[in-house]
Parts: sequence; structure tokens; C-alpha cells
Amino acid sequence: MPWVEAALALPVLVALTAVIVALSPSQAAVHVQRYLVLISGWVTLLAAVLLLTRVAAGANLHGFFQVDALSALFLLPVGILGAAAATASWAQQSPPARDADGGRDDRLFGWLFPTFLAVMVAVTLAGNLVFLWVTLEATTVSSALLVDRAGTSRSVEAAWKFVLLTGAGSLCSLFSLGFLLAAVPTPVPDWSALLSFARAGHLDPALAAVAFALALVGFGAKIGLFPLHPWLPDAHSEAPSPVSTLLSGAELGLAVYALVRYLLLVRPALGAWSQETLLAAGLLSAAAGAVMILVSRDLKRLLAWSTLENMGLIVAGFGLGGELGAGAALLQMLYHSLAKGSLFLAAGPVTEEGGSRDLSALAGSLARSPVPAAVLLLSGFAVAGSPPFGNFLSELGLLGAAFAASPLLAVLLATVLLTSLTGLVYHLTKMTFIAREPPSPTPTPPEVGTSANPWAVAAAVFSGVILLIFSLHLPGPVAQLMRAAAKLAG
Amino acid sequence: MFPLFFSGRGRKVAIFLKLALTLLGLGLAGNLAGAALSCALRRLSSLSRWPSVAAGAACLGYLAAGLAVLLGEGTHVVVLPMFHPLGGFSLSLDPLAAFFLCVIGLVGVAASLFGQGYLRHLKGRDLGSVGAWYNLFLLSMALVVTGANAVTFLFFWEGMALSSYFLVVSKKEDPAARQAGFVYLVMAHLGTACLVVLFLWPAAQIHSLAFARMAILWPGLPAGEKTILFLLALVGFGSKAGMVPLHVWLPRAHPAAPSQVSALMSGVMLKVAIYGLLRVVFTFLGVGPVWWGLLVLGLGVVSALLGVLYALMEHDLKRLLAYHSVENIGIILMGVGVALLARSLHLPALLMIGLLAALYHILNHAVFKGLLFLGSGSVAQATGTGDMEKMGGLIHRMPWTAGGFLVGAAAISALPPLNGFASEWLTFQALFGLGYHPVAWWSGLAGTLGVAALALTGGLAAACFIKAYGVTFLALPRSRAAEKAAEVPRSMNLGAGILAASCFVLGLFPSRVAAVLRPAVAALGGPHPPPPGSFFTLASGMGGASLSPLLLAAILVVLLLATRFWSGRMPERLSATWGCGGTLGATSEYNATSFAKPFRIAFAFLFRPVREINSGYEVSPFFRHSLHYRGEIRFLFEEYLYEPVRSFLLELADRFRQVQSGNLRTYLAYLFLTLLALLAVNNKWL
Repeated sequence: MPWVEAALALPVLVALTAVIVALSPSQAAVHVQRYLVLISGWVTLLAAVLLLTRVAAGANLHGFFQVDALSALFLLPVGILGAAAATASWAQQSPPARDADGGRDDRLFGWLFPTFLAVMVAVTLAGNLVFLWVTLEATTVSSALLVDRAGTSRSVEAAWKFVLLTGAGSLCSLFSLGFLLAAVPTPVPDWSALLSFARAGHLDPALAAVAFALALVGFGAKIGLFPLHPWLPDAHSEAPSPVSTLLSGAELGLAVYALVRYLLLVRPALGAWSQETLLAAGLLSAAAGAVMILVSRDLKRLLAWSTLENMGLIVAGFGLGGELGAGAALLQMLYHSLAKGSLFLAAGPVTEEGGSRDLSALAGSLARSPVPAAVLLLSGFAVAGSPPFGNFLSELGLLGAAFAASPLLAVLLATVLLTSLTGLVYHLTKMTFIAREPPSPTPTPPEVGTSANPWAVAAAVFSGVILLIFSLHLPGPVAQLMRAAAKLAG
Repeated sequence: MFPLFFSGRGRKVAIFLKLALTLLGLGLAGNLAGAALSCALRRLSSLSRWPSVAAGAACLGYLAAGLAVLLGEGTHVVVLPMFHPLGGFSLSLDPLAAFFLCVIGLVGVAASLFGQGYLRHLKGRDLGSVGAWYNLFLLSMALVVTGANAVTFLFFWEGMALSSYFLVVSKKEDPAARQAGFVYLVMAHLGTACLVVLFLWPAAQIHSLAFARMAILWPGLPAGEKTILFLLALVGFGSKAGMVPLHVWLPRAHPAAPSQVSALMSGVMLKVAIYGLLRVVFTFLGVGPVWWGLLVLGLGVVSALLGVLYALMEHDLKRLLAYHSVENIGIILMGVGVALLARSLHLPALLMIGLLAALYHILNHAVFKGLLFLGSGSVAQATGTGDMEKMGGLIHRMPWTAGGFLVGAAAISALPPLNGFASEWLTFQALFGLGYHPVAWWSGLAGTLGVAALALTGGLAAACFIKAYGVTFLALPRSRAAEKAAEVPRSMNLGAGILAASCFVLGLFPSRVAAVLRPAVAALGGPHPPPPGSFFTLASGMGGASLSPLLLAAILVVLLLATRFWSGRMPERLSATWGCGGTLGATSEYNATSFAKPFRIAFAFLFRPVREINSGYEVSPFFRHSLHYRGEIRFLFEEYLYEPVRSFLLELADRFRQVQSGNLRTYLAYLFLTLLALLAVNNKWL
């Protein structure tokens, strides 16, 4: 069907144009790339919306490209955050005279960013498991270079750990694919073909078990499940804020997406074991993230730990299973992406104007940069699971699913949620409200380039407003796809 | 506009319900409009009264809707379309919800009127956001009590906590306010976590989160599970209601908010928590064992006594009032406890009196505590401080405020013919009733001890308000600010005046109030026949006791007139007070610390007071030129319950941090070990 190709082609075309423009030595190319970055984000949103409405209208596709409710839902945050991050990057791109090769740096960003987005779109459309693996690996590679945008020793180290650990993980997921193909009578890497094999009971349980264990480690490393997470807080905090937004809000979700696809394949053969393993891994990650939130000292690391916690919750939701568990996990994925996007985007201006990422040095942010700090605080409450934001409802759904499984589990989950809320609220309110010392009458002149970034603020507000709208009323097509996807994954 | 399902008797009821629904809808719309307005108008301070006006109009809607349902008797349900895996929002307005809606509306109208004058003078707060959160706070409370399923209830319960949190921290530069807000939020979420477990655990078996289904299906749950659910409800709602030992946030958070918000938090929000407790324990859980009632009664006694004792030690007017809220929640819980006991023992008359006492005191406390907080707000605005030691003599400068505060102080001290007396009398009757009924030795003991505790509480509360009123309003001003204080704008006094008038009305016509409360009592499982008594008297049905506040008031007026008449005939002589040869001034007055000293000494085992006196001298300690006194008391629960838990958790988290070593080889080892573990867990192939 032409519309899938169109949805995929638009971002890819923009990315290709950006690559070609980057090859040009002229200084004007950098200027053109700025526009291309912006366009790539909004084109991704367009693709996501296009796909969403078409799938909601009843279109389904299985083959090399595959489109169903699950892929459309996981593409939605990629589109929204892509548009927001691209908008925030409009001014984020470094001022021309930062250093000698600032131009080349921008050139790299100018083609990597659209490529990253295009690759992420491709992940959700991949119906072929080899293609899925390749595109997922490509998101790692493209985003690793984006993490190192600052070029400091810390960001290099973060990018290096990121590539190494998720690289080790992707080896595991490659082996997993091998085992999976060995477990079926005719090794076709097509997901829907494999699913029909699995449902017919043609999957060798022993091989499927190995495949799932490897997939859990492989995709788990990419999601950042505990204890495969150590790269996550480094990478997500060292990256520039728009990139952190995409890493936390979109890229990790895609790894979850891949894991869910594998889960659906092996579940008929493995039974409850597959779900329980996911549940354990998810709960452990959520607990680890919640505890680390309590003792964070750095704003962006705090947000990254909260991402770890939320990914744990989402994985645990799929592990709980049933329409309730899967539905709540999908809602949690959507709401977390929007809230975390708004958080990271607002964290950009706040840390720039505060001149630090240290939580205690950022004290009194609300006075210094009122709008981004207010957005940061409110979306912080959203991530912590406070109404009126939908995160509350999705977490309630998770708890409901946990109760259906076992009350003890639910109490554990509630403790985790309470811990993370306490930590987030403590740090964020302390950071926004209180000035450490009374503001001096002569404020120190801000450094060049630290003035407010209105584009990032606008992007943060954009993401936050969508979160609020989706919280109060989930648009019809999205709600419909949620039901369909919950039925599929539950 | 919404699909409506009426269940009631006859056309009159249907009209009442339609009216109620319309008014509630208008009220909610008013709140939303107010919130939107204050966001839009945040830069225009001259227009900052409009959000308060919208809130006031909304509260009138709540009040009218609540009254319409209480007078019409019936329930209706509104379903709001929404996608959620657990089901969407739905609202229902039954007599119990209607009663609480009335409480929200009455205090809300007064607080909003007060707020129009008050907010314009607030310094260091963002008026736009205060207005918005204020409206959202009122909206959430109304939707909590009208919520018809657990999702709606929990959503707005959390919304109530969040909006009031933002009001508590609205003075952004104040670290104490932020700390108070944080403690509040943590305690609120601890409670919410309990409530989530409370509602969702049975839902796994009964497959419904609708309150109507819960009322039918919960009584069939196993007894052990019901016990856990009861305890969860007690902790979850108790932490919000300020029940000891979960009260620690209350004296911190309530004073930090703007005064009309303190009035709503103390007067109304705590009652919303009691609403939840009543709803769950009386309508969902069914008849429970006897110890449930004894536990609630005991917690009520402890809360009442500790609340009033800590209040006596407080010298900050608003903190003092906040501790009194703990005390009054204790009194309400005593009524609830007796009702629970009566239900377990199958004593319908006692059940009705207990419930009536609790509901009546809920209404009364909302009114007089609202009044007192509004008065303290006027005082704070006029003097710029909440410290009673820096006040004095305000009655001459702020006569209206002083009058309103006096009415509130008399009402909270349960002096007839004001409303506090009527409900405490009912609570006494309930406790006496428990003592009289020859059920078992322990019921007599519990009733008698309860009576003694309530009497002690009442005495201490009266002492405390003599201190609060005397030190604040009487004698000479003890600071420049108190000397220069001036009466507050008329709208603020009008807000307080509504509540002061309500104190009289609710106190003088208790049998009428009881008749209006009857549907709410019946909704909680109380018997239907109205309490015996005539238009002017309220009878408890316990040993023939009855109360006629109008008669009491008439006697009081006659006595007052008689004393004025006779004292006018006595010869008078004016002279200065004898000062032992020295001169008397404001510094030689009896102040709050000195007033509280006898109590500090008598209850030293509880307060464990610390005091420090530093005297400055040059030649000999007998000739001092300066004297510094610092005294404070230590808080039992903070020291032995909360602090150890807090430090243990932080220690644990810090240890956990070492997982993140920074060494890549360690990280790869994690990965490898995880893989091994996962493969080993699946021993089917090993």
C-alpha cells in the first residue's frame, strides 16, 4: 500500500537530503541543514499521524513492512517528540564561532539528527526481524554520535559506554534471532509468518527459551533494564537536551517494542515463564530507578533514573499481561514519553540559564527562568504520577493488573511508585523554589549563549500541552488503537 | 447534556435532583472558569478578585446542590465518557455526598468572599497561580465526594492533594513552606498508596471499581481480607484527616497556606477524608468485629487529647488552630467509633446518635474552624505576623475581626448556645449511651473513659482559646505592628460573618439540623426514624436526655441583662493596676508562654520541654543587663517514628548507589551474569 511507503519515505528522503547537503563544503550547507533538521522532525510527526489514522481506519499490513496498532502506537511518541526536539534544536545548534571546527560539528548534527529520526520510523515499520535488528542497531549508532555532541571527555566516555554495552546487547539479540529461526520448521524472518508458526505450536520450546533469554538481555541492554542499565544515566545526561528527549522518550520505547514483538512470538511456546521473567526484570528496574532517584545530585541524571524506573514499569506491565496490564503499559509508554520529553526539553533552558546541572546549584530556578522551570516542575509531577496527568491513570491501571496477579506484587509496585514520587518531588521542588542565597543586587552577567532559548521552551510546552490533552481526553483513534494493541499484546 | 439515571421517589425528587445536577454543573464550571481566568489574569493584579468570585459562585452551586439532594432524598449518577483500562469517570450525588458537598459549599463561599480582599494583599505569592490552584482545589474536593467509582475518587483525591500542595508552597521563597509542603505531599501519597491498595485489591476478585458494586460485593469478602481493608482505610484516610500519629504534616502545612486556604484545608479537606472513611467502612465493608470500633474510638481519644495538648504549647496562631483540627478530628472519630461499636453490637439507636454526632461535628468544625482561620488571616494581614507574642490589644483596632474570632473561640470551646456545644453534647450522649448499655464490662469502660477524655479535651480546648483570644486581642499591644494594626476590608469580614452567623444558627436549631442530616445518616446505614425531639429541642433517646439551646440562650440573655442591670447600680471607682511598686506595661503582661506554663509542667512527661536561659552580666550574676529565654518542646512521633525511618531509607539508597561503579568491565560482567541467570532460571533445557 502506498501510504506506508509514503510515511517511511518522507523522513528517509529528508535524511538523505541532509546527508547529501552535508557533503557540500559550502558554509551555506550548514544553514540549509538547520531547516532540514526542523523539517525532519515535523515530517516524522506527519508520518506518525498519517499511519495512526490509517491504521485506526482499519488498514493493516503484514510483510516486509508491517503496520498494526502496536507499531502505530509506538511511532506516535517518536513523531511528537521528533517534532518537539527538532524545534528545540533550531536554536540549540551551536553559535557559529564556538570553536574552530564548530561548523563541522553542526554538519554532523545536521545529518545525524534526521537520520536518527528516519531510522526510528523504520524500526516501527519493520515486519522482517532482520530488518528490525538492523534498524534498531542503526538507532544506537546514530544516537551514540549525537550523545557525544558536546565533545567533552565525559560525553565521549558516555557515548563509548553506550555503544559498548548496547553493542554487546545487540550481539545477544542477533544470536536470539538465530535461535528463534532455528526453532521453527522453515526459517523465515518475517514476524507475522513466525507468529502463525508460534500460534500453531510449531516453535521448539527449548530453542525459543534460549532465544527469549538472549532477546531479554539484548533488548534489555538497549532499554536499560537493571542491571544492564549503567550506560543509561551517563548517555542520557551527557547528550544535548533535545537528543536526551529522543533517547529517553522515543528510542528506549522502540527497544521495548522489539521486546514485545519477541514476547508475542515465544509466549505460546514458553507460557507463563516468559511473562514472569519480564515482570521480574521490569519490577527490579523500576525499583532500582526509584531508589537512585532518591540520591541523585544531577538534574539530567535524575531524569535518566526516572526513565529507568518508567521503562521498568512499562516492561512490568507487559509482563503482567492481560488486556489490563498491556493496556496500562501502552498508556504508560505514551504518557511517559510526552512527560519525559517535556522534562528534558525544559531542563535544557533551565540548566543553561543556571549554568550547571547540579541540583543544589540550580536552586531558585523558578525565579531565574520562570516558564521552563514551571514546565519542568509540572511535568515532573506528571512523571511522578500526579493527576491531572494521565501517568496517574496508567499507573493505576498497572496497579490494578498487579492486584489481579498478586496483592504482594501490587504492594511492591505501590512502594516503588511512592519512592520515585518522593524523590522526584523532593528534588524538583527544592530545585525550583528555594534560592540558595538571597539574590545579589548585581546579577553576574550571563555568559554568551546562555540566554533563554525560546524554541526549547516552546517545544517543552508543546509536548506538555499534548500530554495534558491526551490525559484529559485520549483522541478517538488513539484510544481505539490502544484497545486493539492491548488485545494483541495482552 | 449527560445521560441521567434517576432513582428517587416521585416528581418532586426528580425536580430537586435535576436542580442539584444543574447547580453542581454550574459550580464545576465556575471553578474551571476561575482557574482559567487566574491563569489569564496573572499579570493584572487589579483583576485578581475575579477567580475568587468564580470560586464563590461555584461554592454557592455546591451548597445549593447538596441541600437540594438532602431535602429531596435520592441519588443520581452521571457517566463521563473516557478511555481507561479500568473504566472512565462517573459521578453520583447521594445524600452522604450531598452533605459533604454542603460543607464544601458553605465554607467555600465564606473563604472565597474573604479571599477577594485577602489575596490582593498577599506578598511573595504569585496571585495568578494561587487563584488557579484555589479553584482547582475546590473543584477536586467536590469531585472526590461525588465520585462514583474508584478511578474518579482516586484521581480527584490526588488532584486535591496536588492543588493544596501548590497552595501550601505558594510562598516560594520560604524554605519552611517548601519543607512543610514536602512533608505534606509524602504523607498524602502514603495515604493514597493505601487507598489504591484498598480499592484495587478487592477489584481483582469482584471485577468492579464502581462504588455501587462495591457496596454489594465487599461484604462477601473473607473476614481476614476485610480486616486488612479496614486497616488500609484507616491509615489511608487517617493520614489525610490528621489522625494521630499520622498528623505530622498538618501543623506544618496548614499554616503555610494563605489563610482562606487554611480554612478550607482544616475545615473541609480533613472532612473529605472522613467522608472516605465513612463511605468505605460503613457502606462497603459491612458489619465488622467489635475491635474496629474500639480502635477508632481509641484513636479518636488519642488524637483529641494530643491535639489539644500540642495546641496549648503553640504560640503561632495558625499552628495552634491546626493542632485544634487534630483535636476535632479526634472528637469526630469518637462519634464514628461509637457508631461502629453500636453497629457491631446491633444497637440501632446508638448507631444513629454516633453517626449524627460525627456528621454534626463535621459540619460544625468546618464552620467554626473556617471562621477562626479567616480571623487569623485578618490578624496576620493587619499585623504581618502569626506570632501571638507580638500581638495584643487588637480588639480596639479590629473590633469586627475580634468579634468573629470570639464567636469561633466560644464555639470550638463548646460553649452553649453555639454549634460546637450541640455536637459535643451529642458525642457525650453517644459515649454515655455506650457506657449505659450493659453489653460487656469493656463497653462500659470504653464509654466512661471516652466521656472523661472528651471532658478533659473540652476543658483544655477552652483554656487554649482563652489563651489564644486573650493574648491576641486583649490587653496592650506588644509590638509596633500590633499598635498600628487596622481593621481589614469589608469583604473579608463579610466572609467571616457568614460563618459566625452559621455558628449561631447551627447551635440554636439542632433538631432542624438533625432532620436535614437524617438522609445522610440513613445512607450510612443508620435507622430511618427521625431522632425524637420537637422543633426547639433535640433529644438523644439516651436516658431521656434532651437539649434545648434556645431555652439556654434565653436564660443566658436574661442573666446577662440582669447582671448589666444590677452592676449599673453598683458604685464604680477607676484606678491604675497595682504594679508592686514598679510600672506596668506591655512587657509585664501575661503572655502565651506564661499562660501555657502550668500545662507544660503538668504534662512534662509528654512534652519533655527543653529550656535555655542565658543571662548577660558584667560584675555579678545578680546584676543582669540582659536575659535570653528559649523554650521548646520535643515531639514524640517525629523523634521516635519518622526520623528513624527516614534515615534508614536514605542510608539504604546511598549503599545502593555503589552498583553504579563507573567501570565498564563491571557493567559487562552484569550483562554476562544476567544472561547466565536467565538461562539458568529456565531449567527445562539445562
